[in-house]
Amino acid sequence: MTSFYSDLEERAFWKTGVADKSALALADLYRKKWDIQPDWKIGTAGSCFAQHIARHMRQNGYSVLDVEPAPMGLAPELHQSFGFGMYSGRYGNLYTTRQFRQLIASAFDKDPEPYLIWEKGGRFFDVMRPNIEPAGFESREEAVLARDYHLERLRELFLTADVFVFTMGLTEAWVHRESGRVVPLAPGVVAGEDVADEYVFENFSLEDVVSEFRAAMDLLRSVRRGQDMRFLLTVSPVPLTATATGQHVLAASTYSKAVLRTAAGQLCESHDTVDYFPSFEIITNPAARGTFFAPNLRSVLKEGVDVVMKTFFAAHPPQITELGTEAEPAPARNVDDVQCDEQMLEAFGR
Amino acid sequence: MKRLCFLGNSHVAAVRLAIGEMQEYCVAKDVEIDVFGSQRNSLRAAEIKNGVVTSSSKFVRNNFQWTSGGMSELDIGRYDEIVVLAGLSLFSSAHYQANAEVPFVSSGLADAILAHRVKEDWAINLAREIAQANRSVTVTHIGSPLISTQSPRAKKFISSYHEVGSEFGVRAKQLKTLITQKVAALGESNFRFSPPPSAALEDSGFFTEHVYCQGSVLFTPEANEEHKRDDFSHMNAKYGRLVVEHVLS
Repeated sequence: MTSFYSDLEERAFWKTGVADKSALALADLYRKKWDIQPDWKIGTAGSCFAQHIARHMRQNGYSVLDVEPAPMGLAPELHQSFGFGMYSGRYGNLYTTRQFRQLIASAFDKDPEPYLIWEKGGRFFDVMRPNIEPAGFESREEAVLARDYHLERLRELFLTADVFVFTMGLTEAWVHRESGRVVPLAPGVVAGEDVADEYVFENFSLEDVVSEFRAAMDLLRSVRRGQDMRFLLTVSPVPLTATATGQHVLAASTYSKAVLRTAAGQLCESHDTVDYFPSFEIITNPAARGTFFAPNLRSVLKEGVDVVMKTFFAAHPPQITELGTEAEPAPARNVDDVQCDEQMLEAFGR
Repeated sequence: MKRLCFLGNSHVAAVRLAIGEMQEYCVAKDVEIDVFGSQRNSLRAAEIKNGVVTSSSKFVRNNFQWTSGGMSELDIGRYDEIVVLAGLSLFSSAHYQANAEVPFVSSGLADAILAHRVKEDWAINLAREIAQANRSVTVTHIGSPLISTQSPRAKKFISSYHEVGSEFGVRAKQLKTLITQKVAALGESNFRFSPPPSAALEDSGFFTEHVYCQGSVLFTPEANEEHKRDDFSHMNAKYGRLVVEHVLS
């Protein structure tokens, strides 16, 4: 007797696909849609988990763009605190697809709205990336000049990248009422207490997430004169630090990740130029029994990141250098070592 | 009479050559100049003991001896001013550049870069220690010369700097102003940082005109051999003269 399931591969069944397999080496979990060609220029952005992907791809010989590299004289240990080397531009974490779309739009906006700048203690913060200047800018004018330069560099990024690796992180966001701009961090965390009432909380729906990403794709196609950009989407496995929905944080986190995972799936299903890489599944796989998470049950341990990247490079092999050896990977770190703005919310927890 | 001392690595060769040709000038200015030098990073092994700059390295002491005309140790108290010509100049754009680009550099970023440079640079640390050892002596760090306009990095920079309508030039000017303000603020008591002589620099102020690099001589007692043509970091006696005049101005 046969059924629709008779001829399916092992990967189609929970027992043979997951339960009987090691969480450290899930066979055939990811089948790529397309190869990443050695000469493709790669952009990276998203929530903090994307920093791991960017770093490992760079270390493994991929041409990961960095349009705002750190000045040569800056101590390496300060790169991250100034927002350098985290992504392809110095934009910090982009948790939501709307923020991503708005960033692209602002880079090409010929008549931009006034920048949002928060002031605290005589220092000034670029609201769209409040953590790229540890002590804030010296003046409002300096913050504006820094943002002008940032957007100038992003134009090059968005025009030259062949593929963009984007990690979806959150659905919850704070939106500037008047302009509709999404900010990466709630007012009052780094600065902006005095203008908190100018912002409103929003929890994006599946439709929001998908339509914002599609709008970003359209925008890029338009500024690139019809040339599509490819996207490799991932969903951050890192649970929410806190929720402003009024729900329990576990329920809110599950909702958020479910929406993002569904959105990534829909986008992948409906666009040849979009692929989905299952880093979320690798880390949250029940077979791992939570061992990829640090004791705070949130940060992803080095071992987890290693499995994610091993799976990734099994499909997209490291680009071999001229000497025939792979680049020496830097010591992997856990998510605590990458810059997560939202971790600052923990300071408000009891 | 003012007693002036230049201390550094191979870059003191230009000054050493220059003062040999500046006897009348020195008499007129009522200044006596000594030079102490030792190649490359060998001055890392220098130490300050009992008011003198010395070294446990025989190599360094020997170099001090021939460069100064007989002194194997530098007696700090003998001088009114000691000028250190080693280590990267804090006025170089290299610290702030990322690849060939001059990015927008904020005040906070400049502070972080300068703090790192000051902490890491042995020549700056040596200069500061000398200043701390004797507060009545002025110690000035000029560092090594800014590289020649003919170096590949300078050529690229200068080309972008002069490009019509380019923001590069605007940012480079902003950076120059920022560096000047920030480095001036790093001075303390009898220790200060000085830019290289402005007369030696091209428009942007970040590179040395190549005319001061051509024919630069090797750091040898005879000073009879020139650096290779693609050496863009060592300067000639004309540059050395400008440095002496700059310090005495």
